[in-house]
Amino acid sequence: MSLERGIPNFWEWLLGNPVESRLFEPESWGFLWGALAICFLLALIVPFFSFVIASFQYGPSEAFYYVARAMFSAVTDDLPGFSLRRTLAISRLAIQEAIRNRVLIGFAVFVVVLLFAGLFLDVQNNNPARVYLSFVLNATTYLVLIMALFLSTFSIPNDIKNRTIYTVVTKPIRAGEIVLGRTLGFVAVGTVMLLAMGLISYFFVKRGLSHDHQIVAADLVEETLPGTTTQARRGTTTLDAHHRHTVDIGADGKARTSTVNGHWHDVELTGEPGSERVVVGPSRGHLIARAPHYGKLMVLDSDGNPGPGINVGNEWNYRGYIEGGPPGGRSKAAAIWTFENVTPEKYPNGLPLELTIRIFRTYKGDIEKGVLGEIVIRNPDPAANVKRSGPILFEAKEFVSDFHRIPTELTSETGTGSGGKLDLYRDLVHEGKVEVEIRCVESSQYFGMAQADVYLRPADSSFELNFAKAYLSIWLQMVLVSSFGVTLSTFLGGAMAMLATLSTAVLGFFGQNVRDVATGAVEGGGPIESAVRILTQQNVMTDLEINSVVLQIMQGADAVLMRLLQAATYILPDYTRFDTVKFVADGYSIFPDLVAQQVTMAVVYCTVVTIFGYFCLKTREIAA
Amino acid sequence: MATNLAEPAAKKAGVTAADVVIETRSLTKVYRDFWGRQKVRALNALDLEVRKGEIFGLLGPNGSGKSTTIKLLLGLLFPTGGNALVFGKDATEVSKNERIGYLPEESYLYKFLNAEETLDFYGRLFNMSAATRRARANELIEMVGLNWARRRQLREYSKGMTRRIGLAQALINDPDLILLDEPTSGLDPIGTREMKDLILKLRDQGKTILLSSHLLPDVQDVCDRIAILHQGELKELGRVSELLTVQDVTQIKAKGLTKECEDELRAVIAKHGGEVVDVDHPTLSLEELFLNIVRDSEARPGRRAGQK
Repeated sequence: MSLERGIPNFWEWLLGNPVESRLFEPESWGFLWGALAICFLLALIVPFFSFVIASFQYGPSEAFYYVARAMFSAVTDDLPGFSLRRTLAISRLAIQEAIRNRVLIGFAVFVVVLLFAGLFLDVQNNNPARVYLSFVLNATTYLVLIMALFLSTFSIPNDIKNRTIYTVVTKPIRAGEIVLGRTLGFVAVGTVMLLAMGLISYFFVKRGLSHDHQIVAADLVEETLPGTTTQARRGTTTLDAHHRHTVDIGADGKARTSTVNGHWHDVELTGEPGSERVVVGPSRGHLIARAPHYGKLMVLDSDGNPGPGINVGNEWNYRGYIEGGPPGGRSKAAAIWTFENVTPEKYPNGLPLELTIRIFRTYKGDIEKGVLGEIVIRNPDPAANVKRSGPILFEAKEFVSDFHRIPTELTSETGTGSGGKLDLYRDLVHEGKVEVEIRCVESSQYFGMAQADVYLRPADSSFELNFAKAYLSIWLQMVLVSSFGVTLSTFLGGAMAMLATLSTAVLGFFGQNVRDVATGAVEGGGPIESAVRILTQQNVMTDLEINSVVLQIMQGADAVLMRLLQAATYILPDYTRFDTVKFVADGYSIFPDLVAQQVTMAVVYCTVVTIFGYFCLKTREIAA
Repeated sequence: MATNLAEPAAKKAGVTAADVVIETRSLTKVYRDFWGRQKVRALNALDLEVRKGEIFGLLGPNGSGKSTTIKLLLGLLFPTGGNALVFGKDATEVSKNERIGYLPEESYLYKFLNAEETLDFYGRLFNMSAATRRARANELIEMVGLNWARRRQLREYSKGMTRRIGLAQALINDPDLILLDEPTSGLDPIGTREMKDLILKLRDQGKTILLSSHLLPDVQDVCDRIAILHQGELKELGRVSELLTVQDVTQIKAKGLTKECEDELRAVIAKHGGEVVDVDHPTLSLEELFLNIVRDSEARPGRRAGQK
């Protein structure tokens, strides 16, 4: 699983990294400072614009009075007058209205989609769990968000259109209670839907992945396991769900099949010799939630200097590549991870190392075979007697997570050490720190790696908990959409509010792309210039063939538009931060830090948006 | 000016500030289009005063500014100029709503709720406790005679029934001031009678009622004072009994006279006296007054109440 934003740390995200923060680069600020700055600006700009607009109608002095009174009464009257009972009355109404508006149709659609999905999902895929999980989670996300979008944006406009709001706002209800109540009501509806969808999805995935194999006892073949003298009986399962496993059953009659498509089965040989039966258990290991222990990566180039690694082509520069070379050869290229907090208590059986390495082959070789690499455990202490263990050879396989347990007893580097044996914790771990070096040992082949590609894998956490965390992310997105929807509908008509809410979500989902366009990182200029390019069919790379004065004006206008666009992407919530589908689908536990970030973002945005909605509804002339 | 009529009367009756429930001072409402251009002047410099315990009628043809006035008093609209005060507070303040009941033109209620749920919902908006809400809802459903339909969704209600439940929700908080926009519209004669009796009963309980209507007999029957609006202007303001009295005409009622006798009587009355059964000032029907004012207003557009 790739982690483009690095491994999150909640406090660093919230407060910013004091070393890397720059005053004039908002991206480097912590979320808290950014949020405070935006709130402060909004608190200045919004009343000012309200004042300007009101001035046209009432003149400046009256306008000032109106704006001041609206803000003043918020604190003196509406805040102390807040009533939970009234708020919940509105929520109840919203729920009843949602049920009446056949919200259950959304749920029915989901069930139908799942019913048909079973037919179309690609079970031949070598990671069916990922296919199933990403499908159900994405389907749930989109359906719930669309539902939240429709429910939240049409309710207040419909209330105004049907004038039912007349009988509501002429009661002592505060505008804030209406906005909050509506939001809470739709969130409640969404929560129930989401819970139901989650339960159904869970059983759908479980059922979709479960399958049985059979082994006929008579077909088992006696053989000696390679490299040992152990006798075992080898068997192959039947072809079910487009794959088969092999199994070596030892003397005790119990065994585990080979891992195929991300899972295995427990196998047991029962019965008397002659009338034996092989019992193959249910599939296991499909649904996991690894809780990785990440390290810090340093890449050395072939001269031994730290750097980003080689870029092997015009591609995503998330991964750096290192050049291969024979052991002891000229190339010093290596990738070194430093892990902290490595203790014998935590890893009594050695280091559970999991690698996912990309391979760039400059020659094909035997394509069925992986490229050889070596793992060396190094001592981070420069003054240590023993600097490094002997190399552990491995075959790097592409696109699969490859598990290696580094034993506590290691062979020493040739020519050093006592008796050629090293103890991991005594000789190589220094103050809880240890380094893992990975090299490619085949010349002219390359290994591609990023920090998150190699990690220690202690005991996995519960899949069910992880699944629930993914639903929490979806829930938070739904809360955000409902909140934006209700607020935008306090001053826009239903259809317009829906479009506007959709725009916030789209800008949020594709914020980075929009930012790239806005900062000019993407070729082709701003909105006006690109429109001209499309209409005149001009390539984005060429200089625009147009009158230079016109071009100047156009680019000037574009610059303003792009600035606004860029500002918008900073103000709107970044929905990509809420995307946890890949974690669950790839079998990684969602980091607690990420969950904390999501909750914080959702709380801050919803609060600000609801307050904004309160002022909009309060100052709106309902019957106009 | 309208106040010329209203104020001396107020002084005579010894009206104190506490007795004034509604006060508007040159209240003006201009509807504008999207570009801020003036579209309609719905209400022009309205000065009104409604006192505690009276039934005040706003009378006028469609589009005369009655509903606009009520919406301004409720804060549903914001005035373009002037002030609207309710219980001495600005009409846009939410806290005034604690003591107000409002029955809109058509009962804009949530059709998917039944009568009980409707009253419960509005009760919650007044922050009433569950027990109070239940007691109050039962009382009001009984009062408006919807006991038999209390569990039916409002979408199944007839217009008259919707009106009744609308009235019930307006009274849920036992308000001191009740604003009724066209209270009898859509009601059959019996329903109308009941509504009028109820309005009078509420007045007797000491509540202040402001109602708007274009159904003249209703206004004539229940209102203590009326204001006649036309094209956003206040045309007439005063006590119903005073407004409908024609001062310079004498009416003679007699019986048992033949045609010849009648002719003779005219001559005789001119000379002698004869048996006069009844001599009185005749009253116009409100309808006549109303039509006179509208006709007059159309002939002389600028005239305001009190100007001759």
